[in-house]
Amino acid sequence: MLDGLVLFGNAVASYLTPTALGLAFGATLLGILAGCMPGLSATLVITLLTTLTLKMEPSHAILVLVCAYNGAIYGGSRTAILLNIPGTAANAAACIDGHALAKQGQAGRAMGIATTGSVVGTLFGLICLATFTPLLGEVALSFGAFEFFWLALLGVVMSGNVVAADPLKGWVAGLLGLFVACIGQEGMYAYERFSFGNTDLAGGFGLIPVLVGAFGFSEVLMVMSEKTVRAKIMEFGSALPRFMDVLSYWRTILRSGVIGVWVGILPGVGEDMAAWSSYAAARRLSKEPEKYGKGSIEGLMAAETGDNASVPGGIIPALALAIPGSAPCAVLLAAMIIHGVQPGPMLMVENPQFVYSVVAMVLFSTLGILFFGLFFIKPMLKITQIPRSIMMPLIFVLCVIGSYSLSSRLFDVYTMLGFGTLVFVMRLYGYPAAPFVLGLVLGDILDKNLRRGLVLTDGDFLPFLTRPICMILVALVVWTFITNVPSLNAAMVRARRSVTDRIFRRNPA
Amino acid sequence: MTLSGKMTADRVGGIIWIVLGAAIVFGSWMMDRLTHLQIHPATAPGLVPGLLGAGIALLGLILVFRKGEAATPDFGPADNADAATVNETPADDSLAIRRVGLSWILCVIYGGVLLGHGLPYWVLTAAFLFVHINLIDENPTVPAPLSKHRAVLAAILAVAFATAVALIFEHIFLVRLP
Repeated sequence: MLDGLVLFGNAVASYLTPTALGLAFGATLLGILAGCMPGLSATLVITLLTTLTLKMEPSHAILVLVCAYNGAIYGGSRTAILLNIPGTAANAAACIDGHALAKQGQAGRAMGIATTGSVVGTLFGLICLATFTPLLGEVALSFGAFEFFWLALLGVVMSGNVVAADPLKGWVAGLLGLFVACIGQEGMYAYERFSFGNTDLAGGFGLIPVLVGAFGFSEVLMVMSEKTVRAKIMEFGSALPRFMDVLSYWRTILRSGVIGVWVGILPGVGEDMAAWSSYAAARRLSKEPEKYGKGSIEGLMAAETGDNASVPGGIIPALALAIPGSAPCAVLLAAMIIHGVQPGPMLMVENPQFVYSVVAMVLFSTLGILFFGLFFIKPMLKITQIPRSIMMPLIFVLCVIGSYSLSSRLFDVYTMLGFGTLVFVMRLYGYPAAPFVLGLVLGDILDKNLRRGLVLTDGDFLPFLTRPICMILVALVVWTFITNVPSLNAAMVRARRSVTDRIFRRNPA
Repeated sequence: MTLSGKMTADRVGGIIWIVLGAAIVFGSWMMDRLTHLQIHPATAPGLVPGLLGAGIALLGLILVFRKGEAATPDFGPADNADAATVNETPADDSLAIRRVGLSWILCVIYGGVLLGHGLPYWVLTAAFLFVHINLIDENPTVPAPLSKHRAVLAAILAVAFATAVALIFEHIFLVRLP
């Protein structure tokens, strides 16, 4: 415990330089601004920034990414309140009561509540990040290839299940991502898979160009395909939070923080689910449920606390297990690897300082959110007035140069264009991008650990099913699958009914 | 799109996944098993892609044969705005398709065809931005009618942004521009 505090103190002190502070606050502001723009998701922001920070010192580059990530999740609440369009998926729940408050002339108050909820949620998540990452890392030291295989599969299955309106399509996207990760030289025998003699393909698709395509180019096309005109509310009062608003809902804040962190930790489940879960729990337990949907302070507070608490929550498994908690975390994980940090169970053994550096980064971004959220509202909102027809081509130019700059190959630009188009078409037909990206990041872990496990057991698959932690993970994967395929679910219900009928027929009493 | 239209789209999608999955399984099966290295057959390079291909084909099969309501593929607000109530304009799907189609064509011509084939980066980027901003507007017509004010604004923005990106990437990030 004391060691942790010392490491945290060292981390904070190491960032108290003008450069680091400038980068932290600048990146938080950039994240908030990007979050304010509907269509610019947190994942897109981190992906583009990953390409822009490649030449930076690793500690500074990751500082920029973490701060922008947290800022973007918060920034989306602005457009949710004023435009009734969530800036990022995580702020969809904030639309309901946030915009209702804005329509009642209380937009400033709503933004103050969103800021308070986000700050408190992140601080709660930050404490959990500092506490649980070392604990989870310690537990994960006992994990072998068998457990990591199931964890990777669980991440894709859960992400497909939660993110997509139709789980089947989410799983297809996830499996496709896993397959794309298999293309090129594999990690055990350096054998080229599905490269068809092409030297560019032999190296596999670069993670960053595919991510830029999946979240950058596809997002540009998605926004261009929108057919909406947004009614803007640009008049609002003071955004300084009222003390009583915070004090009277402390239970909701605490509960939403716990839910946010827990949902964040679940592999592949994003901030949006954290916000919705917190909102639903708050509504169920509220003393005034009739106010929900009509401008409930409690509802808005719950949604915003939940989504921001899930940001540090999602970083916990990314650091301790190298299994990302959400799509933005998947990009963050990739960026860490690019910068020479290897997350996973050995991180706490080899580089414990890094974990506390990330905690310090989240702290700085929270201070940035508090500062910009309370005092820079009006200038920030100017960005929502930039029309998409101007913003989107500018973003596309950054997508092109971002994917090219990694290794100065035009093949990476073509990769970005190809995967951007593919993901756009898939999204149009209800196949989400997040499981695809998670599959892409987890593909290597799944492939190597399945085959490593089979080498260890001389081809016997049984240990994958019989080790204690594996049994839990298998049960979760199978349960998630069965309960979401209607025909299998119906068969299960029929079987249960027939068993029940038989029992009752035999024992009519 | 009607419910039957959505179901058809799902079935077509399912067939595509079955074909793709089968092709992956076939490719994986035909892959070298590296017997000359005397590796265990269960660790052959084709194992994981083969299993994934089979999984994709299986899910495609379920998509084709399942009954009930499909998800909602549609042109409209980005999927991150799905949960919000948005004010729809009378603009129809064909306009959205034209807008996104034109945007895609311009992006592919810029990034996939012309980039790295002779034209200086900043000139090409400025030209792309100028054309894109002028042709695609918030107007209900695609391409948008030309306006002098918009053209001047687009020209200034295009040159300034293209120059800034070129300078930053070339001189700060030390990237050799395409």
